[in-house]
Amino acid sequence: MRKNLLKLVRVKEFAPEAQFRDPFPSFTLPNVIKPLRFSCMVLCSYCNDCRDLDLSRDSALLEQEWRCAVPRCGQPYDRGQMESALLQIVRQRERLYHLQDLLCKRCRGVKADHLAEQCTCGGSFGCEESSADFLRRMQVFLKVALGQKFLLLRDCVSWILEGP
Amino acid sequence: MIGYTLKAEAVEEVLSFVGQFEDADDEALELLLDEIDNESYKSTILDRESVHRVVSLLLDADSAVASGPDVSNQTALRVIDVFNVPKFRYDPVKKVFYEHTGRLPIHGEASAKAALYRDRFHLLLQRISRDKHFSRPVFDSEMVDSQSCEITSIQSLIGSVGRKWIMGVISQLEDGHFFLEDLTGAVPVDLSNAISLIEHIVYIFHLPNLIVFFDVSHKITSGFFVENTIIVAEGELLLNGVFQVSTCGFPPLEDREASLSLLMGLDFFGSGILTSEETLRLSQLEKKAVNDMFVVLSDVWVDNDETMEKLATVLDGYENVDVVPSLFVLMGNFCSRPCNLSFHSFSSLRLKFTKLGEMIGSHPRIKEHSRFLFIPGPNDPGPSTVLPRCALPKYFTEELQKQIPNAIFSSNPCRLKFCTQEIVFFRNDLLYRMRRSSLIPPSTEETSDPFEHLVATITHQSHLCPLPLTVQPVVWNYDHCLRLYPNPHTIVLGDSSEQNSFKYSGITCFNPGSFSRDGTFAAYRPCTREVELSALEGCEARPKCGGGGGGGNARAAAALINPSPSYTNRKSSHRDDHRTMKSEGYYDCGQPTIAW
Repeated sequence: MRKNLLKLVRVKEFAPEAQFRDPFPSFTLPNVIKPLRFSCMVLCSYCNDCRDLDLSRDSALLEQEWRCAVPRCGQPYDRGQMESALLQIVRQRERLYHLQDLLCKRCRGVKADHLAEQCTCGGSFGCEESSADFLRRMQVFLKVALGQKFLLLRDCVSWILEGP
Repeated sequence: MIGYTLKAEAVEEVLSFVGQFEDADDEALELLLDEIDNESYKSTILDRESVHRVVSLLLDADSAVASGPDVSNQTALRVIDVFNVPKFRYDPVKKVFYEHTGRLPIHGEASAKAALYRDRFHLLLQRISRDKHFSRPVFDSEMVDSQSCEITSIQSLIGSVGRKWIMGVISQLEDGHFFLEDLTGAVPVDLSNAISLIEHIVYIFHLPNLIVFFDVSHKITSGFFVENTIIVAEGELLLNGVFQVSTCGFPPLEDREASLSLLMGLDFFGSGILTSEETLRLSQLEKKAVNDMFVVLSDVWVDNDETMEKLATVLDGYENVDVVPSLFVLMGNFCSRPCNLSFHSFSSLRLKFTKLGEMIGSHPRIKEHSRFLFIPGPNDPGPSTVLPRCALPKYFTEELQKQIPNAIFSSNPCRLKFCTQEIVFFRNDLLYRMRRSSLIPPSTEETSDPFEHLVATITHQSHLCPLPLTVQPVVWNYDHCLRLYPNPHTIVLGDSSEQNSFKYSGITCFNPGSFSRDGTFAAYRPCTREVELSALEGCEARPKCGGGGGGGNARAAAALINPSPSYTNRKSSHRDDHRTMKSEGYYDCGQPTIAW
């Protein structure tokens, strides 16, 4: 499939552009390597252009000023709104972590009881989204906050990453 | 221990010394004895001289420390960020609490969530085991069966016959079906048949020590029966596996002293352990602090001009009194609009905080002598909406901190230790949320004031926020920060509902009301534990809901015991300590009593 896709974009199979480069170090989880995808939809208030801002792949994007990508528009996005939107995502994700389902590691059933320490099948419970995954996602936000100098976002994400 | 013989004058000297410490006379006597032991005397007969020498030594030491106002001020008032409170877990095998040392990550493992519920349950189970009506009888006697209401574990209900008492968390494990869950298992419950008051009067003749009060129309006790609260229920397991409940209610309260005697040496509050000397000195200080006052304001919208004007009025007023308040507590929300997607002017909010700092700074006496404690509200900007909530981000508070060095930014909830008094502050719209989450409308037998139901609920549950975790998520490893065990002296519940105050079983509880909406706030005197509910002139008071007295001090006074007609045998006294029913009824908690 890779060969066909590269043919479509007219890149030679072994050209340097075709090499897969993961900008972030991959964490080796047992038998699985999971690179993180992170992007958000941004709406330009001037030209109503709707675009995907990929924050996990585009490392250059983290540093530069964010502007509308439409050539005729090019207006910078409102910093206050961007920071606020990112902060809301952080807050929502934090809340969702504490509301997530606990799954039995053995039978993958969702935990219903509150006080039980073990599943009825005898297996122990694990988080649907592990704390390691969650903190990795938060690292992306921290990088964005530092790169774009969003001070409030930086304060908030630092607290999440470092603890009290 | 050497036995001493005292001459008559020596006895007088001892009595006059001990008499100076009214509430702490045991400690004073112990201290005196320690000092006398330290001195070397030729004989064991003490005369006036020798006692007087020791007494003046102690009093000198006491006054020397107490004379420095700054020193005493600093040690007298301690703000404890709730994230710093040590975590204690209960070991059911050894029957003791032990401190959890080691890391406590904000994002815990799956086991931490089960531990949250289990720890809450253990806390109440070990408390109820000391209650004389639920404890296992030590000696076998014929009277045992009829009087003991020993708690049975749900697992051992299987195959048992007859009426049993169980304790469990109300859980909706299946849609629409409620269960009671304890450490061993869960059982479906049927609450529809709780017996009425009339029938129960017959029942109580067989159990002379158990007096049960029920609201005839609702057949439950006071408080909000919310999912995830822990209740005690009496009933029978039917053949279809359902536990039919005949009576139920919250676990009985335990006296602060009783809890403390068990927890000797364990720092549950987080303020550090004091030696007996320090306790003595601080309790003296507390009694002398007649002029100390804390002013509590909740919902202080710094981005609203009207609110800032009102605040200026309040500060102007207190700037000109003889003794300025020692502490101003400003609780959130600090922004008139919640921190959500539509709000994006954080930089202007930061400017408003700076302006607040300038406003405070323009009152020199207050700036010099008063402390300012800032507690974030549920909708203030910050990393999360999960409890406990960390202090306001430095982004907002840096400037203010520079302008007002006496400002402290703390968590929500927040603990305060004033001398020996333990005060808990919590800003959350609990009343509305508890009422919404309540499974049954609260009983109107003892009170129709929802605030009183709320206080009853949180004190009996020993938890500030017993809402289901889906309604109010809690950081799994930090649930101990929301505990109310042992009972604190005072709980301040910042709530957007109308201001209110209520003294329940020795605990003073008040809500200053919304300052921005209603212009109300509260002044608290720690020395006497008096609450003065106040309002700015010209502010419209909201129509009062339910029962309760009028505004201001009248309400606080009315909240003290009003003997209700059902308590014909009991004499109530209008004191702080509402202990009544010493020999009858096992609920010794004050009125309105959740007696059952």
